[in-house]
Amino acid sequence: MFKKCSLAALALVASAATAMADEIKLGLQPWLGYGPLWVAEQKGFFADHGIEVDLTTFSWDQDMTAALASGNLDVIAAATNGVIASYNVGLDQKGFLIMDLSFEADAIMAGNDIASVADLKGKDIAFESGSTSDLLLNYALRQNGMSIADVNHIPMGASEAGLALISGRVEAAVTYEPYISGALAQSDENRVLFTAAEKPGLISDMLTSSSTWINAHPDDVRGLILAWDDAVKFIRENPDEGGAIIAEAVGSSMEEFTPAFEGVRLYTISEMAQFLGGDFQATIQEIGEIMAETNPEHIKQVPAADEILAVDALMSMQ
Amino acid sequence: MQPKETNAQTRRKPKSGLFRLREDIPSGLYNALGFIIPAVLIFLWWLVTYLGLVKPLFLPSPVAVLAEGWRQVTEGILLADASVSFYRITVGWLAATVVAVPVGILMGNFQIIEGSLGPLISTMRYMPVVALIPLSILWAGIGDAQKILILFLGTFFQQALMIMDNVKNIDMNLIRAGQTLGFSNSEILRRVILPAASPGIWDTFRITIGWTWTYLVVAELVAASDGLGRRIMDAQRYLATDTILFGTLFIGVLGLLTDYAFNKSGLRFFRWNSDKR
Repeated sequence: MFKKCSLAALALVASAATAMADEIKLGLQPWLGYGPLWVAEQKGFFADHGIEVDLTTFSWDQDMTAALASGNLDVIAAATNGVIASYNVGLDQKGFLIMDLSFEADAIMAGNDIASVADLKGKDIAFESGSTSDLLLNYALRQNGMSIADVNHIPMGASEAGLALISGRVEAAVTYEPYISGALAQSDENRVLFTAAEKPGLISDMLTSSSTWINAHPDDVRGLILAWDDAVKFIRENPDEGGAIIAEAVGSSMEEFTPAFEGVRLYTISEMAQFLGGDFQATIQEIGEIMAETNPEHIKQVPAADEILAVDALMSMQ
Repeated sequence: MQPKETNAQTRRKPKSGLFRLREDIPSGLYNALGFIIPAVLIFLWWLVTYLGLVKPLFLPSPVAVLAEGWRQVTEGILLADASVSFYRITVGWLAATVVAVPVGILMGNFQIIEGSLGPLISTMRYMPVVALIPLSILWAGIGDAQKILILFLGTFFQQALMIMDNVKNIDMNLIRAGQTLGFSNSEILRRVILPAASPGIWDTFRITIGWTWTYLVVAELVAASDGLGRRIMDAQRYLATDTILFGTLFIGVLGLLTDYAFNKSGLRFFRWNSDKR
């Protein structure tokens, strides 16, 4: 009797374990561009494509990267420049899906007395080291024949940078939404000087994992790509409902959220494939070069696009 | 009766001379133990990395960590970081102490002050200082004042309560003796309470400066272009675990030195108290 019970119990546990084995542990941050992931979760698009996803929110991306490295997360949402940094640490991380491109959602803001990027020379600029803001500023300076040495870097987090600008502590700030709209809403003495829209792809995000995981879980990769596609289409067709889900997930009110969200472009499968066939590879190269130039201590190698991308599955689905 | 007591005493004496309750052990052994335990841990650490039991990313070898430290020394980075961080810690801790000592002493001696300030300080003690960073920027800007404010908030509340306890824990008989001798309140405060509480307060200083060190990273999150905490946070971004480990261990070593300084000076200032330890 006891033997039968324990066998039954064992079978139950084993089946439960197998049922849970398909669950994909996905790490992300409260960034607008990752919105479709929450929409997919809430509207059941993951289940539609036969996958189970457990979303975990992180505050800092280095924590997510560490969790990926240790195997505590299967998939993480990462900025392209973050994947290049991981490459330099010898971490196996590849993008299998392009999620979003930031257009106006990453920007350089300054007081109204600063007319152009060239005027930033010698000014105090607040931004977060190693972040997309860092990359955007370096790109903007490069485009104007300047370098980071021409400005005064005041390091702080992206959320604090906007605050420092509107409280008059710094003369310019580089940050991303929702801190841009938030800062501009509080004061009319500041404006946007330069955005990521000037170089689409510079600030972009990918869904990434180790190549081991990607190769071992082709169905999960397919499921994630299809679920993402459904979610993006849903948001386009139902902007209010989609927007409300994302706003709640990132902790914004709808008033703050709506202008911020307009600065982000979400990509469907066909749009991603088009972008991959076009400029993205060259942009990855350029991002790597800027990073190597501005941070030679940590970025010693510039990966080729196919060293950080694993988009065979995606391209076969377009 | 005598022979019976002796037998009982003989039976109760523990086998090992090193585990007698509250008794001193040879000072040579005491000091050596302090070195031996960390040395064993470092050896185990080295062994684990040497045998390749863990990925280098997860646990760099002691050699890699020391090499990173040496690089920082030779490039002058470590000295610059350490001096600016040390300055911030010192000013932040002093700012907290200068307020905590009078507040703690008053709270310890006068119930009316303890009643008014106690609940407030106890509540604020639990406030997460990290969450207050945006407010600290609005109130104190992005310069030194903001960092000092962060360190102050991290240290003051605990310190005030601990000093209050130090003052409360002195022997009431000393105060009564002073009252019997006709001392006024302020004389008792100056000539009885303060000296009696001093060894405890000095120990509180030693402990609270340790907490100030732990807030260094938080204080250096905003507008710090150098500093030990800043360097660790930047290294985190690139998963440069050797830099992270070196930085954390180095802060630990600096903390140990401050601890040692307080301990040694405490023994000198309060020699009259050493028989009670």
